[in-house]
Amino acid sequence: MVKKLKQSWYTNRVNWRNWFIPHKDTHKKAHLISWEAILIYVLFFILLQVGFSIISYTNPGVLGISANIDQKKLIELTNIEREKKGLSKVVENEALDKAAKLKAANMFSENYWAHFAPSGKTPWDFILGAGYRFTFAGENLAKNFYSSDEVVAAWMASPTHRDNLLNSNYKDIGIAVEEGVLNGQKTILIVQEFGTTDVLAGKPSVNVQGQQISVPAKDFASKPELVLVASKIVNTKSIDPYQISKVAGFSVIFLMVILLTLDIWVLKKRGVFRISSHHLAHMALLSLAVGSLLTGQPGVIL
Amino acid sequence: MILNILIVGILLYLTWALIHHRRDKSLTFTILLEYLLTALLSLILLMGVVF
Repeated sequence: MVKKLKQSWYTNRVNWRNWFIPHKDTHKKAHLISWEAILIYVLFFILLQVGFSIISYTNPGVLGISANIDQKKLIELTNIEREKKGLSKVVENEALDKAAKLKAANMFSENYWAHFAPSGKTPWDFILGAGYRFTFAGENLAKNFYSSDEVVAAWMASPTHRDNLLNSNYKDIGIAVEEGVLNGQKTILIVQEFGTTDVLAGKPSVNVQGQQISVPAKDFASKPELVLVASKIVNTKSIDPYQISKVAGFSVIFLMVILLTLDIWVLKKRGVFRISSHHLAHMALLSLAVGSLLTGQPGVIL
Repeated sequence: MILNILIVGILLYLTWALIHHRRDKSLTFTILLEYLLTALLSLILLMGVVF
């Protein structure tokens, strides 16, 4: 009986080791870096994403991002970028602030992420609806960023958004930083509206994603004033799915790199060579994955 | 941009694997699967953070 127990304990101990280091007799790879284990990691991350989608659908607002984005800081950073290029500062305009808020509120209520609403509303509907009679205007959008600096950096990195932000025609700016639920997730939308009322050559137009769209003259006469409705209070304690994915991703990569290193070390110590032990290629790709996870962020601009 | 860099990295990784193991006459289904799954894992990890 005692002998049997001892044998069982020894077998279990060996099995336990096989999960982390190459098998003692066959030198087979540790279970946790075998293709079967990698398949399980892949399935786990797919299930995680599916789980997030289900939660977003069944419990809107539970998942999402909490950020520290300041409207005044965004204006300040925009003007810093403009001054770097020798352009005049844009001044905060109450009507454009209202237009930006109206746009953000509409995006939440109609549940879309675009310059043009599914219902047909245009960017100038909100600008004119807020009482700003522009000759030239423009709009930049952003969502899911964690800080004001990241937002302006992303706009500056995109040629069309940068051209809009650095347009010399603009005199006024309005920005809204609004929290709401978009596609089931708590989202922070940033709407940046630019404009000027100065008389310019050509018809009144709006710059959207690098395209100058002429505004029909009838729109100036027919657009009614829009009223801003107080936004709904969103759950402040949301769970950030992107951070969860990041932490889980780092953990799996860390585990794999440690085990791959251990595998090389153990095999060298045993004086064994295995044809499938080209771990440097795996480690190079995993290092690239770590780099992409570090620099990757959920923020998007439009 | 980051996604593009990772995709290029994955393509290089898989090309290297195919060339190396074919030359070495060690290209088996299991080895190929291991490379493909590692590449897929890297891609899925980034997708979870970016989208």
